[in-house]
Amino acid sequence: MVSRFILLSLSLLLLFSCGKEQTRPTSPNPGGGNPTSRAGTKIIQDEFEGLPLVLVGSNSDNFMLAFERQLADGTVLDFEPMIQAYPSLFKDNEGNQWDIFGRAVAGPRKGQQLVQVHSYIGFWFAFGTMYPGVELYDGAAYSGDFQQNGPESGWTIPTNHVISSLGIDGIPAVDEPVFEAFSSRDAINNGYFVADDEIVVGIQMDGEIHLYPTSILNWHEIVNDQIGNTHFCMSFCPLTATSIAWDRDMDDGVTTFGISGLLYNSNVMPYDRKTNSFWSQMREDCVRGPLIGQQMARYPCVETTWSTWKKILSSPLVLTQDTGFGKKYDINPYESYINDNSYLSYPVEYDDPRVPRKERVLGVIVNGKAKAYRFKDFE
Amino acid sequence: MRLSLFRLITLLILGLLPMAFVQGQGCCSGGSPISGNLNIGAANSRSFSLNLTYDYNHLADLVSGSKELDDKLRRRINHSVLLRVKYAFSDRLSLIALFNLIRQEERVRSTSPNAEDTFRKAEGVGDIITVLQYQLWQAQGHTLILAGGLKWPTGRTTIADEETGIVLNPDLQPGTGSYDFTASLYYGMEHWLFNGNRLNATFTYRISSEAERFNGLQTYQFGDELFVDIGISFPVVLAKQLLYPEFSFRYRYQTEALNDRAGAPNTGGHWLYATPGFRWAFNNRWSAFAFSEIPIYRNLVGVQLTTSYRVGAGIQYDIRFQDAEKEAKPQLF
Repeated sequence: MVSRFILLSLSLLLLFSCGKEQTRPTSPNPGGGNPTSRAGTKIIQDEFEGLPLVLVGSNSDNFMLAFERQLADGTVLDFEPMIQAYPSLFKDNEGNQWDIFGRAVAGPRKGQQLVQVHSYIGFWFAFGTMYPGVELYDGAAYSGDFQQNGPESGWTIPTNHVISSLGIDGIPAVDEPVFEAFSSRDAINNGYFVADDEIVVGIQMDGEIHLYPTSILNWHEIVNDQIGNTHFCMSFCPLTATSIAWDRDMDDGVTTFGISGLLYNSNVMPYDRKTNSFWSQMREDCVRGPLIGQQMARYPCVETTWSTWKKILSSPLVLTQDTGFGKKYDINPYESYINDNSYLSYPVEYDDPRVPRKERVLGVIVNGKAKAYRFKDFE
Repeated sequence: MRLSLFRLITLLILGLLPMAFVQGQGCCSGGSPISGNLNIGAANSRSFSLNLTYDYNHLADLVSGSKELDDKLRRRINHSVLLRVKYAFSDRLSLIALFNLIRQEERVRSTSPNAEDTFRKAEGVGDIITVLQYQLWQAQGHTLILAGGLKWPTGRTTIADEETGIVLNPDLQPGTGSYDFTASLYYGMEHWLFNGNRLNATFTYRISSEAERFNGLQTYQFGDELFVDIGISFPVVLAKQLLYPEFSFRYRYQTEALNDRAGAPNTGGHWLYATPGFRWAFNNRWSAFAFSEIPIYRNLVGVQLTTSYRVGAGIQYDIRFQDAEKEAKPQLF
């Protein structure tokens, strides 16, 4: 009998001791992000595809923005940074001060708006594969073998890099978003669900600003939203860390978008529920279905950390966790994916080695070509 | 193929300590529910056993670490029909072959009034498993068996969505595309604690190999798995019928999967199940059985959709060729 119990004890001991717990380091920044170095905003005046640009960025405050330098009246402005002057980020040679959305908040042009160049932040590998040979600011050129298969029938893209990861709506979009004005007093008293270092995406229309924490976007990837009479889709791809918003008004009415479960080059492919057409987020066009070839009507977005938003905006409208889903938004299902700088979940067509794959860069897209800027360019 | 320290230690333990065996099909691990359906155990010389099992695995629990999330939008159901053939060349040496048909379904409940629920499926012949078992020792009610097996990549891995033509995700495919190796040690003890009952313990380690996915654009290797099963069964006569209720605990540990030889997020973890079941022996040749698997503890890496419950049932036919007068004794499971 004793031997039987020894046997059982050994069995149980082994049962509960075998295999070490697999743990990964905790992300210092749940939404991804580059390390900060020192406070301050830096201006880069550059030109891409013949377009004069002003790029405003801060490594410490975690934002990069791109605007056209030329105004509608033909004036080309010269810009310089402002330090610790939020909500103003930069000023020009006419004495105007501009904010994060490119709005003149002081000076003779107060109320005017700079044109935000088509640009968004994302992981380097995504720009490297979607825009092969992407130009790199202050970096070497790269000429890989960019042979691409032709598109299959019914598609505008080669399907050899279209991957099925889930079924349609396997990741549920938020169709009835609820926003509430952030109150710093309430946050101090009760705590707030957005961490200071969390990346939060913002969009501004007619003075109204909506902010979308990536802790919520990670679980939904799409928010079918509306400001005034403008219906738009805010999309976020956790695998490429790209946020892009576009219009939901179609010829025969307003549609909503959902997640198709397909990926192209590891980038999310939403579908519209009115026509069941599939779209590519980073290509910004319809790649399959009745609307094939149609371009998205895009709206500019800005992303930075919650701590920076709090410095810039007094009581922004923030997407709440009241999404109608029982998600645990404090859990980031992409935490280990983000922390591993080289790991890709799905294959991509081109792998540009000049920059670490998961480094967040600003991609500026003009005439179908891209140029990337790194946070270190703004140190 | 990698042979990590963990594998070495496990294989060493496997060779030293009589332990258990389990069944378990992880969430989205794809392929056949092989473990636990192999029926490693004592067999009479020149006996033949045919077993037909239906296996239903319902995966609707979204679990992060050890917490179950309140999220039931996505559901996976895996149906398997398994045919197991076992032939004992002698009292010591037996060959087991497991064939299966698999249907994997995925349902997503849409919360949008503008969208319908979605349903996807893939079905077909799964991977075939062959196992050779050797009885190391049998005396005074104790049995010790060592077994080694190979899973052949016979199941399809390229079933595409009918509408888009895009190959369905690998965890929906009936096959895994990889050769897997299993090593098991079985220990059985008759009359444990009281007369007539049997203690079964099986310890199995499955080593996965690398397979291609996405038309060769990526390699993938499911995590290695450790299965431990410890249970007891005992005869009960009910309405003049011989029943063998069984109750066991099943532990499963899976290492992180590898994607292009790098650790894949949200894979691997620990599972502990309660697995009650019974066998009903009609006579010396025919028996029927049923089993279930209920999770009682899970600690998973990242966030995973995993088994809510699993049930199965089947029939078994046993015959002994050597001596027509001596019919094969029905095997306990």
